[in-house]
Amino acid sequence: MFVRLFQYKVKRLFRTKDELFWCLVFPLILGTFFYMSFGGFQDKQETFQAINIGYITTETGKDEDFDQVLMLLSKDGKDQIVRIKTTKEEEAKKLLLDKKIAGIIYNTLEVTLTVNGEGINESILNSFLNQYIQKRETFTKIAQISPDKLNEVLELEFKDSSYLQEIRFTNASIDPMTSYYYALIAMTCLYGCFAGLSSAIDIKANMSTLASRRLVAPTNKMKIILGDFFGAVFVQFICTLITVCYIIFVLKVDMGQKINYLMLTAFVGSLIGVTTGLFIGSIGRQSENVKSAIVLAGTMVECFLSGLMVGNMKDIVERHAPIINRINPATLIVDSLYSLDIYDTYDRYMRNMISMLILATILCIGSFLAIRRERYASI
Amino acid sequence: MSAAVIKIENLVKRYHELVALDHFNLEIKEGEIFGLLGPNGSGKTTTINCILALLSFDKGNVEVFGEEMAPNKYHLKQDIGIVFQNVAVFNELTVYENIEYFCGLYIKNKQTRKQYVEEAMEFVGLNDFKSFYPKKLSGGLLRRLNIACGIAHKPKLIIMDEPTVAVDPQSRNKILEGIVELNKKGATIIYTSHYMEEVEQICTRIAIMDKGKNLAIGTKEELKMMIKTGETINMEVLEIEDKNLEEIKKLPHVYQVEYKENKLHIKCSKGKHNLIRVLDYMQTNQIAFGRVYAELPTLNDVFLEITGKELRD
Repeated sequence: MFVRLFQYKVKRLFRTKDELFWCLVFPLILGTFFYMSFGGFQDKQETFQAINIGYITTETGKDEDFDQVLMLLSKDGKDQIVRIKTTKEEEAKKLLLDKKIAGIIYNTLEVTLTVNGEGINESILNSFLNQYIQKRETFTKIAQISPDKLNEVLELEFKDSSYLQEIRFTNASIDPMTSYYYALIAMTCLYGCFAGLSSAIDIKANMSTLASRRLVAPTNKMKIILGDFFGAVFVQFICTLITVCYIIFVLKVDMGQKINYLMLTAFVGSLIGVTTGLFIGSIGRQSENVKSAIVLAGTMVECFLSGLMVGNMKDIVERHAPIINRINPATLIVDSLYSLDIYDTYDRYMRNMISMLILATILCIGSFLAIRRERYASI
Repeated sequence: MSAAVIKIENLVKRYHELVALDHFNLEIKEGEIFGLLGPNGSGKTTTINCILALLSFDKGNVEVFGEEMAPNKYHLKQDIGIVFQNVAVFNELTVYENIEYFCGLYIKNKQTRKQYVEEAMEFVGLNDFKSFYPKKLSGGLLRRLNIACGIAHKPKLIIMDEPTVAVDPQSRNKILEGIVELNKKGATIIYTSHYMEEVEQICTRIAIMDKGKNLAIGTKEELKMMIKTGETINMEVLEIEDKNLEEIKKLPHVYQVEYKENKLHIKCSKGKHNLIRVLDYMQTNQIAFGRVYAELPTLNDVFLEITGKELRD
């Protein structure tokens, strides 16, 4: 009997267009939009393009050191910072006006920069020139006042040139945009609430005639609930897996190597999504439309707080109200996926999974207690 | 004497201040087509929900097949079929799957279930619509599907709660014929309706309900015997004086005379030759009249006389 009820629930859900749209089509569309939005950004992040400049110099009065530095920076290769397009002033001015180069560096009596507008490349050139001039002045002065200290200062300069040290916990390459896909997976899991809601409504005689028809049959109520419940979890799990596969294999987003744990997260996430809907459907006597609105709004708020719309929202919540992150199912799913990707150990992942299972258990017990009543006061 | 399939004693059901069932009593015997007749809100559906153990009640006792009914009495539920007033089917399942699903809640054996489902489809005439989804069915066909889902498991007791609401005449006749056929095959039927013609047509016994009370119970003939009206004579009369109306009222068995919009309505208590006497009087007094017809009392007259209001008020 349980298997039959399970099969029919699966069949019904896969034939419900609304259900399929929200749980499968919508996440795929949203994932595609993410890809289209972030794709260009990721490319720009990955490859730095050398800055085109014009370099005007004279044989007399030029700064020989700067000339050497610039030649070094314009050398072909992966460390190339600038590309000298021309050394003729007239041509350089024309190229600058046409925005074909970011600026003209003059190395005549003084080292100066001429730019045409504001932008990242212009800022880099400006910063580079300022830094060069500042350092040159500093070292010249030290050489004049205390030449014996020059070597020591130079050593310190090179030693302290970097103020940040990277400490790696894992070999994983973290793309900040991946957090959006984590939130998308969390949203897909939590959309299981619709299937959970319909399961609750189909077993409450005071909410639907269909439920009355099922309850007057000589079948144990708990069997009907469980058949529906696991059918809903199964369908949601399949939808989530399809979404995950789409993200990994079609959109080519790196989700790490721990596929088994990723699937486990998708399953527990689907479980908590369905139990949330089941719980909301079980309590109170609001109409199905009101309950659907509550479920949808609740899911969107949870996903918002987990970073679906604003990438660092999870961190903002963590700073101001960390308790929300401990009980928000969307954040727990996102954090599970994040910790899988970041850490080589499973402590944080397990903590999140346990939190989700506790939440799902509480919601399940609450739902079953609300549904189990044998007779209704009014129908 | 047939055994009681349903026995309700002193059933009281309150919704806050409203008393939906007020010390309601009922006994339905095996093999009956029992009609529960009453206007909307009279307590018919509440009675059914109490019988099915869906609804809690404040006082009284409900027995089905000689046992007190409870939600976990699965052996009793096994023999009950219900056709709800609202169509209760899954829109995502086909006609066949819907019947199979609900039949499967009662019948575990796959082969038996398959046979029952096919018989139910044949019975309600849905064979040609086997793979249709409910949304593609007309209102009448949808009602038939609703019935098939309720009776496919061959129950001994079938409860039909207004199964013909919003149904076209063709489907209505098909449904009513089906109910009689089910009864002939041995099922006891409880049929609720506010359509007195339907109840009069198929029910072997009828209870008239209003405001949660059982006002009268019996066969349709017994119910009609309970009221004063034996026959109503209607005549089209262009003009008649008040003194003639008074004289007609004094004729034997006549107890009420009403003249309204050129129509004369004469109510007579039980007795013979009422129409002949009225016609004699009209000819003797040279009162011109047109179409004449006599009506035997209907269940609506019974209801009107008992409650003082029309059944559809």
